[in-house]
Amino acid sequence: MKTLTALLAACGLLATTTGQAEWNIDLGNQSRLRISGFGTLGLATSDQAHHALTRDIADQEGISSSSLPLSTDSRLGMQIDAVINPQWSATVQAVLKDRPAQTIEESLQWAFISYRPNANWQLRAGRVGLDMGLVSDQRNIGYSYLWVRPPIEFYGRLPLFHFNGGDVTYSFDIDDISLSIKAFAGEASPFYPSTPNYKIQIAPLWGGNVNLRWQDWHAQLSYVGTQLQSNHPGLQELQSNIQQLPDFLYPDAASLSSRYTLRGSQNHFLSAGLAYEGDPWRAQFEFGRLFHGNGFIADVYTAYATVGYRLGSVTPFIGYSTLWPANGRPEVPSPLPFPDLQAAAERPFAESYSNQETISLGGRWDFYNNLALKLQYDLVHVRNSDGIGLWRTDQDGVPQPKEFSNIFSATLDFVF
Amino acid sequence: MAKFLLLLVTLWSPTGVAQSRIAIIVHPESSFTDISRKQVVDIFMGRLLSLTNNRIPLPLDQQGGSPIRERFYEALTGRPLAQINAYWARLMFSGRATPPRMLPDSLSVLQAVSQNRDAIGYVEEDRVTPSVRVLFYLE
Repeated sequence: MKTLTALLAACGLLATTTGQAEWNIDLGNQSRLRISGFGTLGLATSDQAHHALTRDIADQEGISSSSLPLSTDSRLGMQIDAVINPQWSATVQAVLKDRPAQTIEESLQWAFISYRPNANWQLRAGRVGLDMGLVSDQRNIGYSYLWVRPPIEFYGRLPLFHFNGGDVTYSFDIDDISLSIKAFAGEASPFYPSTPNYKIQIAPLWGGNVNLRWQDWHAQLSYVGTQLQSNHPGLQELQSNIQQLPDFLYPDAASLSSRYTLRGSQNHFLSAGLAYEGDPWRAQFEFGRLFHGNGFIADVYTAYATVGYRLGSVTPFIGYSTLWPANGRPEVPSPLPFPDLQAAAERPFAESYSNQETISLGGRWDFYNNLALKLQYDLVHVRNSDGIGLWRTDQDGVPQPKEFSNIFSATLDFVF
Repeated sequence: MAKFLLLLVTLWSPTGVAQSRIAIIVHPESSFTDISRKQVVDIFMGRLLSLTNNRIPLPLDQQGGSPIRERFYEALTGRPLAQINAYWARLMFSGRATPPRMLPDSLSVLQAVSQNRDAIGYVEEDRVTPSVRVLFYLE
């Protein structure tokens, strides 16, 4: 973390000095290497000591009054674009941030080759960004949006940033409306948060989206589907513990244990978004529905809306985001014979369950070329305290985040 | 007196100084002949589609925080530079598009445009030389 902070400070300095010239290596003709980067130095704290709010479910530390205030939002990214000619290019991006594992493989965000045979088609192959919402593949780039972090009720449950595979985009114009249709497929294996060395195997992953742009308006419909190929070690252990119960003690053992599996389950995410990016007004709205094909994670609806208004170099904004279950919290149908086992069996339901909303007030100040300072206040309301959802807890058993929490954040975002 | 004051204000305020227009320039033999303002917006904002002929244009930008760059985007899109930078950060760092090549000053833009048939750039009106062709001017 110390190294990251030092690196960030150095890059922030760099951003103040290199606003003028991009780093380019000319390779003759139209070929060039473009080296660029982005980063965020973020501070965040809350009035909660024992429950930390996470930016997304892969965030290790979360925001609490006792956590390291730098860890949740700070990150640093570097990108190299090799433009070979107008048709061919290659992009590699690495990002350092707080996450379950700091391996080179995890740091590699993008690594793909892009081919544009003409203005209508683009094909990308390699490790590409997962495009499943208006800002899903730019969540690391604080400089590109108004908030300190994308609305957690919407994006917090979507920890996947990239996949290995490819996508194809077809774009065309109808009068002054630009349309593009994208389809993608591949696989991914991100580290599971809070379980050392365990990776979730996602294969296949597939989806697509339709984008419509007209003047300052942008609308998007998108879908992504995933199938999981491995079960979590904790769930596996729970399964075998339940299976070992003799029939006379617990007749539902077989059906209950079959609910604790990730392997083979399919998840689907559907979303619709609308953004207006004019000047001085800008607004963004997204609505999503997450379907989990397993017996313990509740399906949810999620939505957010943000409105900002530019006053010179400062853009204040207000936001509201919400996440609510599509059906009730799944539960163990009948009490298990042992209290320990009962607690263990309840925990996966509680850990994945969330029902909360956040009201945000903030402002972005573009005080220097390529540098932006943001301040944000969030009032998080946990509507049902029988689930931990987007929180981390230092307490055993079913966690109970406080009903209302105040989160204060400040970030310095830069690109260079 | 009022006239004198007005003159003084005009001379002193940085925007009031009689500013030259900005010329959108291409190679004299460029195939981009009648490009509309919207097409220039598209080219500089990474949307190449609306061009009818199949040549992919090579837009040339000026250095990051330079006054001419600020004026160019303000005149072309009505948006402040910070918003343009944020827009490009989104496209570039999500790997969707690479921003226009940035050159250090108007002289290098003139030189590059005069040497490349697909190039399109912008310079102050009074910097234009016969080695390039002006598509139109931005006020």
